[in-house]
Amino acid sequence: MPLKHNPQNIDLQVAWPIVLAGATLGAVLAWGVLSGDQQGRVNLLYLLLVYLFFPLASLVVSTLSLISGRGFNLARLVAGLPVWSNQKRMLLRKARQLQVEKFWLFFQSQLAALAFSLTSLLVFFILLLATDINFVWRSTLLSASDLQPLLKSIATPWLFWPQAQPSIELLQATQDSRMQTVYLQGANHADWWRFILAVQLFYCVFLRSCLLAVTAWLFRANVSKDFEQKLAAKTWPQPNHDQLHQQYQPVASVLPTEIAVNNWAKADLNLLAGFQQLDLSTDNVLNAGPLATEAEQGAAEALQAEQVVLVKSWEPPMGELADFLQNGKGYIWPLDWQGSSLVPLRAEHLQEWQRFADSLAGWQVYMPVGFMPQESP
Amino acid sequence: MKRASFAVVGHPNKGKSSIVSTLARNDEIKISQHSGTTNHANKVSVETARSGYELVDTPGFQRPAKVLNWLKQHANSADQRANAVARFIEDADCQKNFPDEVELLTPLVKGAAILYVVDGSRPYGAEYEAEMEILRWTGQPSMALINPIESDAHIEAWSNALAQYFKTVRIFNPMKADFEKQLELLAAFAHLKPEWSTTLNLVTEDLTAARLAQKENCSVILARLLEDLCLYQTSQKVLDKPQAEKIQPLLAKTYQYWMVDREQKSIQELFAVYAHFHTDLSMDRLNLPPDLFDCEQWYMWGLSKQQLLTVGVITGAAAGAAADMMVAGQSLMLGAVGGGLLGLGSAWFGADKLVDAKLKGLPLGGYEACYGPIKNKNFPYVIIGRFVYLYQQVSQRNHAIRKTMEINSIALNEQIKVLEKSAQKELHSACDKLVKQKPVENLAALLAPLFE
Repeated sequence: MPLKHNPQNIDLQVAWPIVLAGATLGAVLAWGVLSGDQQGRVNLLYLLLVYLFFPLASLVVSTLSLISGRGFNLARLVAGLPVWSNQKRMLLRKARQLQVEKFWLFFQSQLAALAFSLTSLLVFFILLLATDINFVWRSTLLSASDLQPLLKSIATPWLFWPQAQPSIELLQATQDSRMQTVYLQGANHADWWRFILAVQLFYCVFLRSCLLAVTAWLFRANVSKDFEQKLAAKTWPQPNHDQLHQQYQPVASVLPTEIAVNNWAKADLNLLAGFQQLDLSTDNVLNAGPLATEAEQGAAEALQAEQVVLVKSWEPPMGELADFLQNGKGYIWPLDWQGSSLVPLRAEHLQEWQRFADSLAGWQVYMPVGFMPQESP
Repeated sequence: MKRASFAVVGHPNKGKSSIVSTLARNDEIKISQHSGTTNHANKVSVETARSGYELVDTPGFQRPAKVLNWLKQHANSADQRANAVARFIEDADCQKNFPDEVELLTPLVKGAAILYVVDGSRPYGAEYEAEMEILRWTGQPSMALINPIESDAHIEAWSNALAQYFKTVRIFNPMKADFEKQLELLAAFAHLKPEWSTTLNLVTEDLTAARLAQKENCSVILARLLEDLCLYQTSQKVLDKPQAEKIQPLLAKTYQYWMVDREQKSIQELFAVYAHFHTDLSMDRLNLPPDLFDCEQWYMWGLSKQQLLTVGVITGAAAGAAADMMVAGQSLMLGAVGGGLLGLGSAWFGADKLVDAKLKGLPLGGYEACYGPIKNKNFPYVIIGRFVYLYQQVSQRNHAIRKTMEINSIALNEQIKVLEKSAQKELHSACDKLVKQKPVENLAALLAPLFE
């Protein structure tokens, strides 16, 4: 089974109350600023303050705080407010555990700022459609030629859009004085809308979206760095211990009366003294096996009659025994002993020999009744 | 620098794969009671932060006497022996007739050192000498490992025999060898070939550092678990009071399911921290007594009622003492005494309280049925007790072990007693805060001494 994922998986869910607050503020402020005076005059420099300076300043402060990671932990404070639902509280707790609560709150604040900008844009459009906004500028100290380079540099990012570039003529035509009440070229005053739109689109929407994307990336990168998240990615396969339910060959408990004994195990034959039916005389005992001489091995291999091959029960059947048994027939008798007495076999040892005998033609495991395993494997 | 490489060789079924599994901390390696499970040489890379080495799990010898005969026919003197082994693995007939020996000798010809494994619980037999002789012919640095599979009855006889063929002989039980034993073995590996010592010493250092990191991770997992379980609450908004009352059993079920699921997730993480990915961890088989919500048996894992009263006095007195400090002792320590009594009282009355179920009227109409959070003072201790016990089992569990874990309770109190007084006090205070649903700063650090 896969390692269970976090029951309260953390992701960048939108905190709608925060976003809604940003959107409302944006709409109210835009309405207030863009409504202008009775003649629909809106000070261009105030607009720049609201749509350029403030967003840019907040963007810089946000970025610096994100990079430095210093300062008051507003996220902890916000998370502690009793306004959150159970689910959000759980999410904020998880974010704190993963040390990403700052990124989470930062993301929400960027979303709120974006909502602020988008509702401002919406209000701007509505007012452009439904009212006559007259963009003017006033200054005691600055002239049109002083202002133009600044506005030009502000408009650099949208050089490809000439209609949204500020011109000296437009600046001169829209300079306002509160003593002036009559406008000869009223149409000029609306020409700033493209510039204002571009300012909002670039400095408010575009840059904020970039920061939002960076924050989302940082959040996810930090979450995935957490060791718990790394563990969750690992799989949990099925246990790999043996679960073979093999059918084992039946065990013989009686030996034929006349049968040769092959001492493959080089066991002390006194161990078998209690088995009267076995002929343990030198003539009837063969000595094949890894320690046999060539003559002994040859004699054993030449035997056509049935034989009982004595093996050490704890040693697994090896290739050399399998080679030897290919040409004969009879019984395999796995022995286990302690000191000078035979002892019952371990179940897993007997099964190993049964499995082995099953793969050979003409061979069966022999085990006297009293020496069968006493425990289950 | 060329990586250290060790081929684990020997008779079939003597624990070669178990040794590889334990040393590599890898429970993916197939281990079977049936001989002949390993048919091919399997290379396992042991990677650490700055270094690593390779272990090669090999098939067991099947026809060592015949192979030795072949080798003897192809080398007349000692200087030709290594070359004869190299020719053996290249020879097409040998590849056909002795596939297991070809597989196991190939890594040795390529430069791996020999780790020869025998079973020390069974008597030594002269039939082993053919394979030991073959290994000697390779000329590679070698070490013999006596694996006491069932007992250590024949270790001495084996040691005497192996010393004839191998310069270094060690006893190593892959099922029981603890972390220090494993590091000792690695240190011994470093002596086999001088040019490998730097990388192997780095491996040892890295493993030690990783072990500490694992403990830290465990305390973080427990801290997060504790916080989540103690603060969890489930709720549902409904239209009227009868509906709210009707929904409460469902909420209780949801709550319990979440809590159990959350604890199991942490247990899985604990296993994963120690790279036990294949352990039989089916939760229904991981018999975790008692049931998380079986209050009757909680005292097996957490603290007894009397111990809880003591804790209540400690935490109450600590809070009261803080008040005394604020008034610069003008209270004549009445704060500490009063706090202690208050703590005692709340511990007495709160010891058997489990989960709060509430019905709240909502300001805009309707009702909210809530279940949780848990208020029982023993609850954090129960969670700590269960987790720390599992930690002790898992952190000591070798990767060669494939049996299902058996879980028994422990006396958490005994473990807490071992901590320093200040650590005990901080722990009690943290648990007290948790059941009061207050956040605890640095909870993982407070829990860390329990993982020492």
